[in-house]
Amino acid sequence: METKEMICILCPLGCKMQVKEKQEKPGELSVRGQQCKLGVDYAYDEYRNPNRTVTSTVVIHNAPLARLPVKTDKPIPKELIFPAIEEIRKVEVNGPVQIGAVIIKNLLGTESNLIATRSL
Amino acid sequence: MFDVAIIGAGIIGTALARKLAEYDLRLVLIEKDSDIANGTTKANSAIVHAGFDPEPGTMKAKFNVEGNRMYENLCRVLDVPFHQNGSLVIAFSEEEMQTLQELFERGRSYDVPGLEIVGKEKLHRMETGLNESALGALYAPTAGITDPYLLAIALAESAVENGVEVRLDSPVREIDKSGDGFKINCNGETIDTRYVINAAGLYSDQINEMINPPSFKIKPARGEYFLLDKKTGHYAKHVLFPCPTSLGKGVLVSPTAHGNLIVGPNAETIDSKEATETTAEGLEYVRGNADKIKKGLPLHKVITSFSGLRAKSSTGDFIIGEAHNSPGFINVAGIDSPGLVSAPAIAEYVAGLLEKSAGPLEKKNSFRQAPKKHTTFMNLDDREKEQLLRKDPRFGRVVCRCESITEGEIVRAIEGPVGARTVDGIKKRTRPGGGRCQGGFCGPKVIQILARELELEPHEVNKNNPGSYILTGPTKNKKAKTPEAGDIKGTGPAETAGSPATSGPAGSGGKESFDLVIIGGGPAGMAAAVAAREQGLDDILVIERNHELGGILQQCIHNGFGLHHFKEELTGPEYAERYIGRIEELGIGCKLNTMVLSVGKERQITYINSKDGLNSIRAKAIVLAMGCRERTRGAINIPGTRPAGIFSAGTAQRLVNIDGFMVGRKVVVFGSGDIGLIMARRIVWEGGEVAAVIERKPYSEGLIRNYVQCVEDYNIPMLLQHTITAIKGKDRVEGITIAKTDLSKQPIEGTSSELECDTILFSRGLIPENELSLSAGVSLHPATGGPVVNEAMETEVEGIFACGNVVHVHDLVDWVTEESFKAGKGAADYIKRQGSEPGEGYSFQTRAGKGINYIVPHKIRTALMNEGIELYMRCDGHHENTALQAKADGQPVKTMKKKVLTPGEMIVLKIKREDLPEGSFKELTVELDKGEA
Repeated sequence: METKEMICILCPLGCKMQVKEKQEKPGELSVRGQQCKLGVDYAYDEYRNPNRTVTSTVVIHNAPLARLPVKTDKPIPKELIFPAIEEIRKVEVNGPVQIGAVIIKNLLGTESNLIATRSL
Repeated sequence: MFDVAIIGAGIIGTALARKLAEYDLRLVLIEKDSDIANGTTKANSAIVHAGFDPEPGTMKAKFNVEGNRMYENLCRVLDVPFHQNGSLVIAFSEEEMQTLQELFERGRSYDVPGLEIVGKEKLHRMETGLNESALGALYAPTAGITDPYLLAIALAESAVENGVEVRLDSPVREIDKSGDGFKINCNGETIDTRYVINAAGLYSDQINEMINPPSFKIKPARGEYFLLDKKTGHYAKHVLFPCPTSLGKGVLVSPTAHGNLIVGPNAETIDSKEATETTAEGLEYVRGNADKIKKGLPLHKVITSFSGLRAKSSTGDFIIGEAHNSPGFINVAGIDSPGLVSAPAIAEYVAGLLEKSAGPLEKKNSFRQAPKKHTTFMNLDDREKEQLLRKDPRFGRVVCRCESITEGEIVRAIEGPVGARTVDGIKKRTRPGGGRCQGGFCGPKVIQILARELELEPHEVNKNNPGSYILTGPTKNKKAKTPEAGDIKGTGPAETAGSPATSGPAGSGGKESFDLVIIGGGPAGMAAAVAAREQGLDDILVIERNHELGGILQQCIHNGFGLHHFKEELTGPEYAERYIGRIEELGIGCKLNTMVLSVGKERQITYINSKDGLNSIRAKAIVLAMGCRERTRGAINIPGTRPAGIFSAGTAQRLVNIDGFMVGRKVVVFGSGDIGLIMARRIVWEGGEVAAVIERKPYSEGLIRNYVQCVEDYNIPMLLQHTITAIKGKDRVEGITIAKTDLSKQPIEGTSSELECDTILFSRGLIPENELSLSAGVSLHPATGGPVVNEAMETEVEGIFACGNVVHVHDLVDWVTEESFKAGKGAADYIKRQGSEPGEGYSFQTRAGKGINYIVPHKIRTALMNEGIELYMRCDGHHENTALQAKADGQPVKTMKKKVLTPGEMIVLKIKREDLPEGSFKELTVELDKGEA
């Protein structure tokens, strides 16, 4: 089983951890390098289900500015970041838009919505 | 058919064009670059020499003295700055005193007026702060300083108003004799002319050789300079020279016509006529030599460095005359120093040559001496300002905050007879970008104004010559689909439209005084306003320079804000909108698009906007909340060229996130601060490539989370312990030289390598922006760069409070909000107390001890500290398994264990009232204990 190098982001220590799925117990991880137990939790999350919030802008017409800032209202799987960006690139909206307005519902089936992060 | 074609629109070509425009001639001025004054004229010492220096019998000697006599009148007529502040050539040895005597006698033989050898005592009286070893000087009262490119532009504009045609972007490819004249092929156009004047500066030998056998060569001599912040102009009163040597006039120190300080140049003969880069060695030489003249020159206040190439001829003298083989072809070549001062005299002389060759020239009656006046808005008196504002409200919109340049001036610079078409063209004419932020704030606005006025797309606006594009194109695909109506849910009409916080400047309604005026409507100003209102204060005004509240948060579209304050993760605009909502709910008045120009005595605030014009109001209390600016490339002093494609990270963030334009294709981020890391990911997400993030220290400065999620996630190389030693590229950045750094962050010799890129983002720290605080007499703390404050965030000037990044640079907006609550509450308390003492108690100072860089606040009055006080501080390095220890006059009062501390994170230490000793004490020290660095 391959060992993953990982930096814990939960505090400024930034522990460099080696994370590996245990051969004898599939689903369980061997975590080394962490200085506290929070590191183990982080390693499980980041190993099994690495998620990120995507923040970007979309083209907006009839508004005082040319771009509307947006975000995914829930983190999305890391591997879907670039497909999500491609979807975000394609969409254009017309002003006025209120903060929180859903720009793309259920982005790429992730159950995360792309929402406006300001009124414009 | 033209009568005369002048090749080269530097100071010589433009002086010639204007001189010849006095006659009934058809004239054309041909320039290879996109603007007037783009070569040697753009980058020199800007000194109008007195004329004692040139060798006897030279053209230099003749024209220098003559030119100097003409300057005052010329600059007055053309409305160009010229200050005859006099020069001092300073001797530091008896041998040099002897040289002074020779120069004195030489100068007298040329009739240089007013020359005087001054002895030691008088010298140190005339110019204070010289090195003690200065023995005496040659004083030349007629020497002065000017602005060479303003002068060249004014000459060109006057020429054009008098009928001269100008061809820009027109490099001359070929010149042929034809009939009784010449055919000039430039940029696809053929120009027929009877006479040619070759004023092509560095390229005048090449132009000469297009038609004549080689008779002279131009060898570029490079000079490198530092330009210092306007605060430093007073460090020199005169133009200060060392004694000249065979190498030239030496490294001078002088105020500039705009009140900056200029230091330089070195002199280096080089081969390339394009090599206008600065070098580490050259700048080091200048630094070393400047110190010899004056002690304690504030070289840490450098705002930029630059180099210029002087067109040194192979004969050593100016080459002015008709070419032997080609009647009608006049060379005006080899014009190095003292070319600037000689220009008007040379123009007269060349007009004479033309008459000799062509016969008497007829003066035209219609010649207009004085061109249309340039308006420097801030130099007008109040009445003139009012008049202009009423006529054109664009003079009420300040675009460049460092130099106080209005949109009106920028538009006029574009509309002028030889109007600016580039960002550098605007900078030359009106100076936005010439100040201490070096275009960080005004750059994007200048691009927008140029695009609007010239009907270009913003990404078609160049910095200077073709190829110096600034933006690579809009973000997002233009051919995207427009959503159907109803695609977007929850988009009711914008309820905020027209409300005080989002509309234009609210008229003051003639109101001349307020209880509380808050300067800055970013997170700090908004929180201070909300807190003051919650204390029951009604009469509050927030003044914001931008068109909306929210400050820098509006461009920080990433998440990670509000975890402490709102206990949820927000993006910058979301965080801002919560407070904008509060301001609206509470009905707090705001003036948007409004720039405060000064804070004077008795809390008088002078501001300007396009609605109220120039106005003064009074406040019972003021909160300063102006935020900070970014450290620029110029301030960091990276040698190299100055092409397009160099941005500070925050400027790039604004361009990408708010304006919607990409700043480059292959980007290097220099510095690993959070803005830099966040921008690295933004660039990748917008389809760009990040070649590397470069950090001089052994660790990343930003938050671990940002390193992992912005750099590591995208396999961006992070080059720790590296630095940029040179920037390359003529029009646009083409690459950088990098080197490994040692422990003092200096490059290690022999470790250089090249890295290709078209863009560099500087993420090298933030500087509290305190120009207004200084105008109010507020004292700043050397460690923070912000005001010294007490527990209520009151500065040392009574009734003036400060909060947020103007006080010290914060890592999280959450802390800014909390700190600003204190300022708002403190200001409200102060107004309610009406000057009475805050009650029983004593006060103590805070002091940063071992391992701590600074502590805010600096002074605490126990009567106002309630149950306790938060001390905000930063440590000096990465420390693990350490403890913070607070001591009252040396006695430990509190210890807080810390697993890890880094300089990037603010430390918040709460001191409770019960932690303090029973009796009064003077000083509370916080230090790091048992740190493992």
